[in-house]
Amino acid sequence: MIEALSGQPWLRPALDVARLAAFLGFVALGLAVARRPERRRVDRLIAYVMALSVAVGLTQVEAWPFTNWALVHSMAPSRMSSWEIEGLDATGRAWPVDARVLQPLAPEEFGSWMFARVPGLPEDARARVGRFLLDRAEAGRQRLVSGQPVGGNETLLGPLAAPFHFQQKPIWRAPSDVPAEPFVAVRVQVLEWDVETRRRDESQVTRRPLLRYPS
Amino acid sequence: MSARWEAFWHAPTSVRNLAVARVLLAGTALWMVLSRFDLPSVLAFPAEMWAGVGAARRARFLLGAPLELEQTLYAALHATLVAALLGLYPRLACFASGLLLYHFAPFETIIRSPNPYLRGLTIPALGLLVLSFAPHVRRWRVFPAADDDAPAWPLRLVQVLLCQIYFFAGYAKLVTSGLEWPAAENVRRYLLLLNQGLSNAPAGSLGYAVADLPWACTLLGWGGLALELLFPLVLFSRVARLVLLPLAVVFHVGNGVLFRIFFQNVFLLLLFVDWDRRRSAS
Repeated sequence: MIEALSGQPWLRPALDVARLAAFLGFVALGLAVARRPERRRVDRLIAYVMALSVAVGLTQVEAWPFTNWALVHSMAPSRMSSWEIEGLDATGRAWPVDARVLQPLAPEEFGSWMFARVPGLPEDARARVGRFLLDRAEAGRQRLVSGQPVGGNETLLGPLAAPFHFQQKPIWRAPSDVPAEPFVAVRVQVLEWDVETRRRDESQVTRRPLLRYPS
Repeated sequence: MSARWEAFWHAPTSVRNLAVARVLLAGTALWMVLSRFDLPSVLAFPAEMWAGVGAARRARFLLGAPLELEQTLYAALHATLVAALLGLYPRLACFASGLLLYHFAPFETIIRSPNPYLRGLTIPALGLLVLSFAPHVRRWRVFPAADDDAPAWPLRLVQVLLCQIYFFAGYAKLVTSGLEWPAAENVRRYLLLLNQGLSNAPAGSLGYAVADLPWACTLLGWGGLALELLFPLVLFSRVARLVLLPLAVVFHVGNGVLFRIFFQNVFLLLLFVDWDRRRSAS
């Protein structure tokens, strides 16, 4: 039954509306307390928050901001995949691009979207995504060369800016990590490896192209 | 049951503890939004990246305004958080901040997921709203007056929500993977793959070094799981707070160094400290 339900096109939108209603219920009960802080109203708010947050936790079905808090909870896979962006200069030389150029988006968010959607995109849509990546890479290159932070997240707080949940090491540290002239093309490659094999030999990573712009 | 409910939720606490909670929640949220400069610019990403975000999901998070308006609202969020931090119209500032955080937090993940729970703004969004509902959330007085006690329920509710992070993280591991999750082999593989995926030179990482020590992997797996499941004891026991709060700090430092996982809400552990022990029951 759950399988049959999950295939229904109306289910996801309906759940989104239900989750909005759950949040609005929380706010409405809270405002009732704020208006007249009687014990009965306070208890109703507490009971609502407890019931909703515990139900979400136990079922592991999110209703953010009431959420499931699952983190690295599956068994670790023996094979991994990741991705890398490379910028190409006018001579055709490839330079790894620092994922900070995608900020404020975290690399894992972009990667998850890319793996799920890019393979199915039509050619013109792939070109728009490629153009976006090329613009981002070039803007990041220019910022690095001019001594500014590579990503936007450090604009105000510098190195004191809060890191993303998954901490990726920066690739670009000095202007010598990028070409002096602008990037003219960009390509995205999927990286795949066996975890134990790579433990023994760091070079055991296979690469396959996912996107190139201009194609 | 009724007496226990009463004692847990409605026992008095110092208004200073409520003020510290407001400062911690607003401060954490402000740190996060200052670290996500121009978050609304995600709206200008290629339309293809937004193709999976349907009308109902946009409605859920009140999306759809033009970029310029979103940028103005994001600037307003900074202002309301500063007001909440400083205690200027604190309840109004907390309420506006909570609603704006509800709107903006999903920007970080929405192209993939509507659940931005590991991005640091979930507890601040809920916590600031809870505080805004409470009548005793005022400015911090250095020397509280004799009648400056208040019902503890707003602070308790935020503390419970914070405990759920740990408890349900452990619970999720057990219901998804069972008792194989904390086994040395699984922890070893996580150490390897996270460093391989996130580090430029994984071979030199501390995670790799620990992965080769089966006893350390076992300790990390079982110790971490035990901490997560037992953490709610801090709600009920001072001894548990003395033991588990420092352990939680070590746990987060270890996660950062070994697994490259950063917990943006680590400073919220200070919510469990009693900042006015002379008069408070919490």
